[in-house]
Amino acid sequence: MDPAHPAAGMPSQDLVFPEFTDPQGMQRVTWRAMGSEITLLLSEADSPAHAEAVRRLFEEWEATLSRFRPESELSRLNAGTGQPVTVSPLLGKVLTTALAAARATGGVYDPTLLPQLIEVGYDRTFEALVPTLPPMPEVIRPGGGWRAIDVEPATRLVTLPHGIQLDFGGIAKGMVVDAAIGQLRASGVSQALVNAGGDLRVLGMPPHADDWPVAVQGKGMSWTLPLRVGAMATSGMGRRQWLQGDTLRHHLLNPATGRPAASGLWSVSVVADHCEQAEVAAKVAFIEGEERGGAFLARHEMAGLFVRDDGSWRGVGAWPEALMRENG
Amino acid sequence: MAQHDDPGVSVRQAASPPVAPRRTKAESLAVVASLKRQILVGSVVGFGVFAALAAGQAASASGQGGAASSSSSQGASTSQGSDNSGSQSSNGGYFNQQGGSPFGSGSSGGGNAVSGSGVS
Repeated sequence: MDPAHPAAGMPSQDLVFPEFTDPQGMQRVTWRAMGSEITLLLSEADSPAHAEAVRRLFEEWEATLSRFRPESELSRLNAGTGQPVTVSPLLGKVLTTALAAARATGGVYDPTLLPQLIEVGYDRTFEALVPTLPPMPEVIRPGGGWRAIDVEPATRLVTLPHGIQLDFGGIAKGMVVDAAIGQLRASGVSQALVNAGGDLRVLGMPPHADDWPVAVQGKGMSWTLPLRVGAMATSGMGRRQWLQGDTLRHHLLNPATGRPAASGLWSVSVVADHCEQAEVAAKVAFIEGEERGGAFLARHEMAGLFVRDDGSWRGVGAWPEALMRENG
Repeated sequence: MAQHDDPGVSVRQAASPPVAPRRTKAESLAVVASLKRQILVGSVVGFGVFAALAAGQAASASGQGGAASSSSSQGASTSQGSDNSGSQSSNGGYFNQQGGSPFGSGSSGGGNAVSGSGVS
């Protein structure tokens, strides 16, 4: 074991964020859901009922989509026997979106890697991972099982073939952030920020400000950037990592091998119109590596920050390196 | 040989100049009206075929690269906090971006961070 590596199930000590400040005229509400801290910033003039509605939204999504809850609809679908199952509108929406993301990325984003995740040791919530896991099996099959999933859109009839199991991972978190912003907007809220464990999106501007100062993570450091519109998400190996035998593992699997991606990157942050897009793009860029991942972001006109294993970094696309203010 | 097999008779009959009956003005107008209808119907049918081909091309493009048997977001919407997600962008591209910089100028004083995007 590399002594520089953290203990299994513990986040890396390379995660550094400043203490966050409430924008003037705004209230902050935080709670835990989906294995992450959820933060909602609202105008002080807005009713607390808006925050409560967003909290209920997250609860419903987690209850439906968590693979760690045996009673969730996703767990019941995964436990199916290859027979068609009619799924709820929510599960149907997330599944069809995940399949669209898989197609759009040529399968680099793959929502069917749950069996491989379990084989590399991520078989329970990250907080519950034990210090020592048995070594990885010699043979792990690659991904791509999403191609065999049958979905009948009109009836939401879903058939998962034998051996195919779903884990939506970050895309569900990105989608619920987008849904929360949509719900707030529909309720008449014009200024808000929703952050689900690092997947964040803004609505409007804070009072008395022209942008949202948002921290973005580097390795052992962080910067603050002025975000005006859209969403930001970060994918990397710094948070969810553990030891399997003597080998450090993380949760971002390369579907080509079924094993944790080894791209030379520590994290990738992406800014996009929607949090769901930013989340998928960050994961794909991380798996693909700096060269191909950078080309991928450029092709889709998204700005990104690549942080390498050695802590060095570079921005791609419209990433505003000149506006990065290092946090002390 | 029967009379109707006589080549001479046949030649004479074929050589007779045809007598084209002169159309009345009403008949001419009727022919013109008929041609107009045929052109109209042809145009409508042609446009329909073109539209169908274009729709088929669009559907093919949106499904490019995929092999999931039948995946679509239609009919699978949720009423829970609806928002236009990336997968449903207007041009059908999953990662379609509206354009324009999402970043501010930082001119508002560079205040402390209010939230952050880290590895999740």
